[in-house]
Amino acid sequence: MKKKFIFILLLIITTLSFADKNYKFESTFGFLSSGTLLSSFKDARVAVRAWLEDVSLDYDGKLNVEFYESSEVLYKNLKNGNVDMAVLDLNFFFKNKKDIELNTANYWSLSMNDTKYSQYYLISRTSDNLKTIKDLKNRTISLKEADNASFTWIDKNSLQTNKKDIESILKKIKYEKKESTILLNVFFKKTDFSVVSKKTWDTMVELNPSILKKLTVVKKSEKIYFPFIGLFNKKAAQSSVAAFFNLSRDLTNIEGSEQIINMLKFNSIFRVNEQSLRPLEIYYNEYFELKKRYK
Amino acid sequence: MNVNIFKNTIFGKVFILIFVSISLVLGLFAYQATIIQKDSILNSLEDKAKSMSDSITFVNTEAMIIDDEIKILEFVYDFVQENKDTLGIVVSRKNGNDLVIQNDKWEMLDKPEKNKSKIFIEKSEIIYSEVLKKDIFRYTYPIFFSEVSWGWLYLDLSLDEYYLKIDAMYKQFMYLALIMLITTLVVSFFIAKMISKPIVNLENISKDISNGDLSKRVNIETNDEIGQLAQSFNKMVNNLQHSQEKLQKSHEQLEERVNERTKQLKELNETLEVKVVEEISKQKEQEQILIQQSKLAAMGEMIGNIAHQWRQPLNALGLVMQNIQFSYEMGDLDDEFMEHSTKKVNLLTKTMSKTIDDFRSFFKPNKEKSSFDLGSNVYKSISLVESTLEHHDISLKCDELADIKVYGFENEFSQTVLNILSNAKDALIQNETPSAFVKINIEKDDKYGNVIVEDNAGGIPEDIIDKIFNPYFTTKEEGKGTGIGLYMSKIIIEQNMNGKLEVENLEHGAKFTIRIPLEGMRE
Repeated sequence: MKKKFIFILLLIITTLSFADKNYKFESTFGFLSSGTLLSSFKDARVAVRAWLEDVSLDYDGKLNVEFYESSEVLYKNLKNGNVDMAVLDLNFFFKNKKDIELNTANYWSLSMNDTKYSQYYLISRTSDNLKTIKDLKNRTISLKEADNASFTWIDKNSLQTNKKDIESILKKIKYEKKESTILLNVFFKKTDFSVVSKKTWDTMVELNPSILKKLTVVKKSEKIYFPFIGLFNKKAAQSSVAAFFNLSRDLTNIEGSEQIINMLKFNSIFRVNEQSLRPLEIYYNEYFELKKRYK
Repeated sequence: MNVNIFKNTIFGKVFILIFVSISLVLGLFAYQATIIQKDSILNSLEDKAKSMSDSITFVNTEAMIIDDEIKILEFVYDFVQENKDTLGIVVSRKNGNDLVIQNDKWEMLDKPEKNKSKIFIEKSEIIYSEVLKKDIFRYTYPIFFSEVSWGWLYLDLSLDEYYLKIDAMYKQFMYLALIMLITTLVVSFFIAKMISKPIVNLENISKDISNGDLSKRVNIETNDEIGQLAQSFNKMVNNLQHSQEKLQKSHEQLEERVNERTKQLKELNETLEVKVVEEISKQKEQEQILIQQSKLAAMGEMIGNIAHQWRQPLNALGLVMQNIQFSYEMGDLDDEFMEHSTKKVNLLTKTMSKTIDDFRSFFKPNKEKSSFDLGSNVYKSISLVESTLEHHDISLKCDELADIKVYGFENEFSQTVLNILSNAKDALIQNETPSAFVKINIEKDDKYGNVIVEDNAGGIPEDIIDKIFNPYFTTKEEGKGTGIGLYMSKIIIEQNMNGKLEVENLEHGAKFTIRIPLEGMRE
């Protein structure tokens, strides 16, 4: 299973280039081509790259955007300084947290709603009367492609309840690129269950209130998730880091940012501190423990 | 611009006619253009809807065939999100649920097949949406796969763009209408000016001519009716001028003649008074002569009558004188005889003297009207001519004369009666009428006392009977008549006494009727 998530986008500016006197700064950002938000849309990747490069040029800088197939390779390039900033999925981050903390700093992520943290719902059709995690057995489920967090959540629940990982008890897992499709799969009886974010659920219910009658929320996760974690090499110039967060704060004022925000459907960029990482760290540690136990 | 030039003028009428005509044509054109434009915009909207429907169907062909509602829903939802003009789309399966997708919601309606349309034709219409509470453009698009009907797409498009285009079109038409209005005003003004100018020119020239300036001519050199009218007008003015010149000339000649005649009249007028005075003087002189003649004639008449009256007493006086002479010769003349003879002579002379007094008083005119007895007065007149009539063997037929009181000038009346009696006597004598007589009657009616004098002298010839009361008209021999008597009698009776003097012929003679107002009819 892919444990690569999230995405990123981002922008900004970093490092001033002393080598090339034509630019005030030069920096390289690394993104995962799969397992993140950007992995869902090829067009999005192209758009984000073009936008970031244009923004940097507007600020007399040069920004290189690179996409990596695996978190390991990306992190390796971050460590050795080929990449100044990298976006990693949470699974990889918590697995390698100790090493990562030694080489990186200035963590950030995207807020997908008003309260920074996301929450997942496990839903089923009301008419099917599926009300517990145990009912997942021999059922089909829809999950979002490249969203390791939702998979981790339902997998952990299965491990806790059924003492088995989710893949072993389910009849089929259907991955979809869009969360709305996941929900509709249950609505239109394509699958028995699906895991969607609270944001998607609320949006879909708002669009079609009859969903509340036809679908049932079987289980809700804690509200502790964010889509990925971005981090800077500790050796990266502090001015570049400061510039990144300043621009992040004023993101809505940058030309073209509105289209990128609408495309990736996030609200804002925020700094991730140790305290906000703590619940997720506990959560992931428990999950890693359960995985080991019921492997 | 003077507003009066539009007021009841040919220019104003032509201007209004052209302006209204052009405006009407432009208005109709604009109205028609608006309809065409509206249709065009609607057609554009329909094309757009058709294009959208084609795209949706093309992309979702596979999903529709396999009933992949999710793909259809997501695509259509995204489609609605992307196309802000699309208010909603209904994907209706012929034998399935309807997916109703709008910008902010979607729903699935379980609509039985029997309630669905059986008609698979494209249709576009503007309908009122109860949900959106406004008019929308609905396009119905039937879906076929391999010529097998699958269902319908109902596209509800916003009419905002349509209304915007309509508004824009109306604005353009407004601007165009404004420009056309101004252009029409200008064009109408110049055309009206062009058409009315010769007529106005003609009218101005007519005014000048009517004010007397015949030197003006209309200068219009066109071959149309107005040009011909102008030529005719100029010709008419030429004739008029020529006539006026002739008239002027004639007038001047007339004036000369009038002046000449006036001069003559003036001269005549200046001498007229003298001439009139002379003529009046002559006339008066003639009248005086006539009056004198009349007086002399009357006097002669009176003397004749006196002579007749005196004839008997003179004879008697002669006999008395012969008796005195005879008695003296016979010696019978004594005192008693002388006293008797003296008394007789005195009586005779007294009688003769009275005769003179009677005639004198008879011809003395009365100064005031008075009541008098008609019979007595006639009798008195008779007594004056009685002897004369008797002398000429003219018998006088006179019944008892009634006492009728009349009012007038007594002596003048007597003269009239005497005049008529005298004329009768003369006519009887002149005609030597055998058994001549004069008949006198007196009678009265309601208003008048009438004296009727008839004779048998043969009457008055009919051709002169109407002239006998004219002055100086007489049938008597030269020196015997003045022609004044009957004229004076007519004047006395009719003008001075308000009576009437009439004449008519009877079988054997003339009949004069003198009518004098009764005493009770005095003014």
